[in-house]
Amino acid sequence: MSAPDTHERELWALLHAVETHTASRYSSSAPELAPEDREACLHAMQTELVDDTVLDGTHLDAPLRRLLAAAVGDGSGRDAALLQGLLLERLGVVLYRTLAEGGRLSERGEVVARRALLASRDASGRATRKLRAELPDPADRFDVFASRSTPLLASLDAFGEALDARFADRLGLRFSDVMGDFVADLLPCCVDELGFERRRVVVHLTGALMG
Amino acid sequence: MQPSPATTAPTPASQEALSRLLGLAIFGERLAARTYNQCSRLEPRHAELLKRFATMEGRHARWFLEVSQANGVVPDKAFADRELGYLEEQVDAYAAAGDVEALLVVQGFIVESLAIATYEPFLAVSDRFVGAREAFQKALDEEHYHVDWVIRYLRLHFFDQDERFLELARRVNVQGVDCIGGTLMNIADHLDAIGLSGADSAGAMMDGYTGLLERVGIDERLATRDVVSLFMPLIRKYRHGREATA
Repeated sequence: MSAPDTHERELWALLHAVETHTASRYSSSAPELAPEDREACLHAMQTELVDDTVLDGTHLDAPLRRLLAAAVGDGSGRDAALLQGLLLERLGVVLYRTLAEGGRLSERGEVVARRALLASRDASGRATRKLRAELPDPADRFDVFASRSTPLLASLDAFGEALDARFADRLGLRFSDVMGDFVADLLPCCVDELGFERRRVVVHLTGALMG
Repeated sequence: MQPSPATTAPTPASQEALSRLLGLAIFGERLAARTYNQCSRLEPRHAELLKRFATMEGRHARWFLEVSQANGVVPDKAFADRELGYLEEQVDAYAAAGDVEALLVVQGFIVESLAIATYEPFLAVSDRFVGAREAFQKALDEEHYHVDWVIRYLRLHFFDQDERFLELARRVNVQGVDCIGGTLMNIADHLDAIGLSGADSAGAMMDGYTGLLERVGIDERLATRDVVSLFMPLIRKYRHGREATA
């Protein structure tokens, strides 16, 4: 497919809004987390794929606002590492990987998805290192993770219907599958790199998602 | 079994929750006994052991009935029947098809994961109910024993055939997780009412079942992805139900 259609433009608008918010959080609180290629990715999205008004009035608009509000945290670099770096970047990895490998994007969209995938991987690695450095004790680290991540995780639920309705058939993104991939990607990082007990992470994620 | 004394008086809300939870435990254990008996007919090499499992499950039902009686709780059979009907349907279909592998995954892994994820945390509050600690501790130990055997059986049965086991797990999971996971979501508020956490039990069941699939040979990432994906609609349904009644 040579040009992005309406569905793909909506998706890019959504991703662009989250990426812009993330870039702003890094810039104000934790510049060391920003991946080198992020600005270029954002520029490519903005100039080639995104129509800023495309989400207005859609069912994606309210969930996006809720997510971005939950992703502000307390404005600290530590929250940026946790909310943006650990959670949203990893969600980005899942989405960009699914899109890049799915063969359903426009040619330009596929190129941008591959670049954005690498940038999100880079940022999530930086965030993990920052969390380890700032919170050397895994027990303290888990307490912070559990206490700070709940609003953001809970806000993801609002995307369920809208994501399935707009992107499942056309782009192969189903909310349940995205969340399954997200948890499957997040767990090894939490256990192997952050030293959390797997059962406690699963219980926390389940509780946050159940509301 | 000599009942332990209750340490605090139960509230009306906890009595109602207990009525449903014990109803589900009693009639669920009876169904488990029936399922292991069906397995014993389909797997003659292990018939004696599987019949013994069935006897143990029947004994759990009897212990739990005694706990109900000792605490003045009438087990809610109508609730249990509603919750267990879907599972019974799945079990009967596998038994009719002679599919002992599927029966063992649904009973030995999925149902046992639900039992373990609820009996284990219940021990922490069990002293509030006469005779509950002994009954649930012994039942829990025996459920672990069943699960250990099912792991060994499936590992041997699917030795060097991880792909075939993945296919089986995926086939059984679609209905099994929907059914048993759905039941867990339906009792989550009752678990909260007796001082447990429905969310903790749901997380423990998801993680416990995923771990069992891994121990038979499914890659950790694949097992997690599949189980979480199947739980997500149940989690969302629970959340939206709560939001609607709030």
